[in-house]
Amino acid sequence: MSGHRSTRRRWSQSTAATLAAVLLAVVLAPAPVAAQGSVNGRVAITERPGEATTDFNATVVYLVPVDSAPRPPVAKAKGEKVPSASIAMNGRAFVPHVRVITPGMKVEFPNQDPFSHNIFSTATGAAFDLGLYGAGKSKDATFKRAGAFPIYCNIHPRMTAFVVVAPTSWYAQAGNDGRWTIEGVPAGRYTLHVWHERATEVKQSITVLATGLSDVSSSLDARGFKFSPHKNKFGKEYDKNSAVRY
Amino acid sequence: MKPRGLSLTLKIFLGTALVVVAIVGATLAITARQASRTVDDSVTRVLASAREAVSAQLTGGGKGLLESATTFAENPQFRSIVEERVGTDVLDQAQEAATSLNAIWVQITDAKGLRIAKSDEPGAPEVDMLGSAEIRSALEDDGTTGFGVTKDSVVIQVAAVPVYGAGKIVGALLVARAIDDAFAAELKQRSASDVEIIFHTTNATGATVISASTLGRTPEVLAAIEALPETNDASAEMRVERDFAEVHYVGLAAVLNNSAGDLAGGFVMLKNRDAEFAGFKRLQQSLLLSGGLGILVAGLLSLLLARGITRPVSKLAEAARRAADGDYGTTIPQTSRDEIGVLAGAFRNLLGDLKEKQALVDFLSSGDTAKTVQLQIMSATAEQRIEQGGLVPGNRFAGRYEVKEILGEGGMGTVFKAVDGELGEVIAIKTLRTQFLAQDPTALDRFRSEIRLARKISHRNVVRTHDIGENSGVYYITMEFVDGKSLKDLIKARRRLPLGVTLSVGKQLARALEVAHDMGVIHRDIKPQNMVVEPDGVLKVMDFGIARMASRKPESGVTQQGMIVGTPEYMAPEQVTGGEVDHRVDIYAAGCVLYECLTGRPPFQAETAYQLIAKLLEEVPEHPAKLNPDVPGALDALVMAMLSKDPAGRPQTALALHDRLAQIG
Repeated sequence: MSGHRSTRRRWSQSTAATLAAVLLAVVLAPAPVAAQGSVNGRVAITERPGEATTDFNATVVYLVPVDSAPRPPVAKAKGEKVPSASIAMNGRAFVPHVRVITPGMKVEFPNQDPFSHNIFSTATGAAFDLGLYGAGKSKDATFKRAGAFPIYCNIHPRMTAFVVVAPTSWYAQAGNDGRWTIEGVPAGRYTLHVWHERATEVKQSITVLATGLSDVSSSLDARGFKFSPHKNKFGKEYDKNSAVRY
Repeated sequence: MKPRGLSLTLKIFLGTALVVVAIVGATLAITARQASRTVDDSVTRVLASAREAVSAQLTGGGKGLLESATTFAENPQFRSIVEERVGTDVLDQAQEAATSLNAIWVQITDAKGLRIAKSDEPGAPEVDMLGSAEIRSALEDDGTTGFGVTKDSVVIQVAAVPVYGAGKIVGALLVARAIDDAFAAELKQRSASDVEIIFHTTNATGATVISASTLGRTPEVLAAIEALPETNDASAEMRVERDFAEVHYVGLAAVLNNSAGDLAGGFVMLKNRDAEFAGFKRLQQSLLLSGGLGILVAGLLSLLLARGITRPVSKLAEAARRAADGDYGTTIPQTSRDEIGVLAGAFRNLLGDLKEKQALVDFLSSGDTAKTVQLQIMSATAEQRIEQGGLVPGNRFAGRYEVKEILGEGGMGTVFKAVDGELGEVIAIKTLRTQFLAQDPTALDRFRSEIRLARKISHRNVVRTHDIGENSGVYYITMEFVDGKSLKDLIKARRRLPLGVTLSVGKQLARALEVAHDMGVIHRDIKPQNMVVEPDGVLKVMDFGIARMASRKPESGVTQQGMIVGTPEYMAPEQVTGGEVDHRVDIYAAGCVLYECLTGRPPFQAETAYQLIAKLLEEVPEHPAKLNPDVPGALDALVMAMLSKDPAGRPQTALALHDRLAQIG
């Protein structure tokens, strides 16, 4: 995504007054930064007996600096185009199922199906309803707050997606093998957040050296996950008798 | 002569086995009956509850389908899509509904019943769906559910609900759920009674089609469905009983109707009766096993038992066979005290008797005793007397008897052989000296009654008396004709008899006396002359009841010569002295007979009757053992006891006498 990164040292020395300017400078002109490393790791998900993990790539990891560390850029200057991401509707499904963004970004929802969809979210702080729109059209929604927000279609209950708004830009989505890598992480102490839709979020303290950090292992427990059907945008159940999950 | 047919051992074994088989068989039959009844009851109960469960499942399924369809149709956006009839969106929603509601297809019509989407047929033509009772009902604002059949003959459960627009019905949503194998399997699982379920319908050509089955679609399953009676009464329950793949099933059949009440198909529930029977089958097997073991044990036991019984019995049988062949020498061991032992003892006695009889027979045939000794004592005077009564050989006597020949003459009268003209039987006629009768008018009556009593004696050792009569002043009795030799003649001819022969004579005499005494008849004149030995060794005692005639009143006693009837040599002291006489005089006389058999002479001998009487009253006879060293001590003692002057000193009964003789040998 964006390449706006800065060192922990510089942030730690900055004051509240200079923060905005520094950040703006960073955004406008990425400065060569020393001591940036790569952090990588692997997520393990404990499943119920006999079940195998098939959705490692729905895992989102992000780092939050400890010690009042400066936040990465979340605002934009006037006239500046807001960075955007996209989740398409294709074959009565959201593609991708999980999209990670940073606060303030908007997500496009292009309809690639031959029929209409009605994308909505009832999540607190991120509620929206894009209304029914047909093939070829696209609408978007902006996410201001950090958090993980479920996205649905009002006429296709099985369509679900998550927009995960990470508070920093040091984030990554795991691959199908559960491995992830975050590049350009300044040395320092961080809290590693590991999120997955079927598990309780895990937080780990890590210390990133100038050379980075390798093989951070995290373990999620999905055994306690219990599926519960969501309601439509009117707050009603789609079909309580249905055997289909939505 | 070998035993024919089954041996005793086999019979006992078979008998025991038969009892065990019968018990096991009866147990099996009873338990089979009981089990069959129990299984039938259980199957009936299971089927009834399965019927309830399946009905509840079908009803619940229809209700659930209706509910889901209603919920789906309540989504305002779905309503607006139907109202606006955006083709792609309607189709999408039909497909969405099909997926969400697990339907094989979903159809959506407009308010007029014109189909605007079918989930499984994107380009489906806009046909009029008002032919469907469910659509009609839905468009009339009444959601309904029922059964139907698809084009390709799958039984379906359908639900149709109205789709509302702004205050009006804008269309109908028709949802069909297939009643397929998966559905049947789930029903079977949920009914939890292990009941097989088959759903069936008919195709366009009227052929039976199986829509769903937990038993497969074999020809025999199809045949069973085709055999069901036709009805469209949904409340009818038809009992079915069929074999599938050699398993016996009992079941219930019912029909499925659409919401208009027309026949859509039916279903059959089948319970494996054999499986219910499995428990009993195990019981049956263990029963058979224990029955078999029982037979085996019974067989072994009966073999042992049978050998215990049959070994002595077969020994007896062998001895009897040899006896029948004339060999009486077989020794029979006394094995036990039970019935077999008693039988062995009896048989041993019988063999002993036969042996003696055989000795008698051998004795008879060996000696030169063929000439008729009786005739030697015939005198001319006797002949003259006989002629008086017309008793002449060749004559007819008393108008009935054809006189053949004179057999002999005794102290009482003359004996003739004659043929009874009326009965055609050979008999013997014995005349009675009337002088005895004439002196006492009542004597004849007494004599008659005595004869009447005596003729009742029927025994192989007693000569049968037939009748008493009078013809031209001659009194006579008729009796059984015996072809043999008198014991007296035998003794005369042989001087004395061998021990075995003597014992045989004694025992046979004892038996004859036993029978007579039991009937209250005392012979009073037992002597060798009154006994005949037949060629086959049977001893017969004659003249029972006749001596009475000669027995005068006691007071007339012995003082007058000629009053003493019979033969004083063989008379007991009390008889001679005219004392009280009882059956023991016969025992005494028998003692005299045995004495004579053993020694060749009576115990006492004298020139005159008076001398003789004096002797027998006072003297003790010489021991027979002294005269004949072959006489064993026991027999010597027995004979001496029999000759006791005091009746109390003799064997008290003829039976006792017989037993003592039997003990000797």
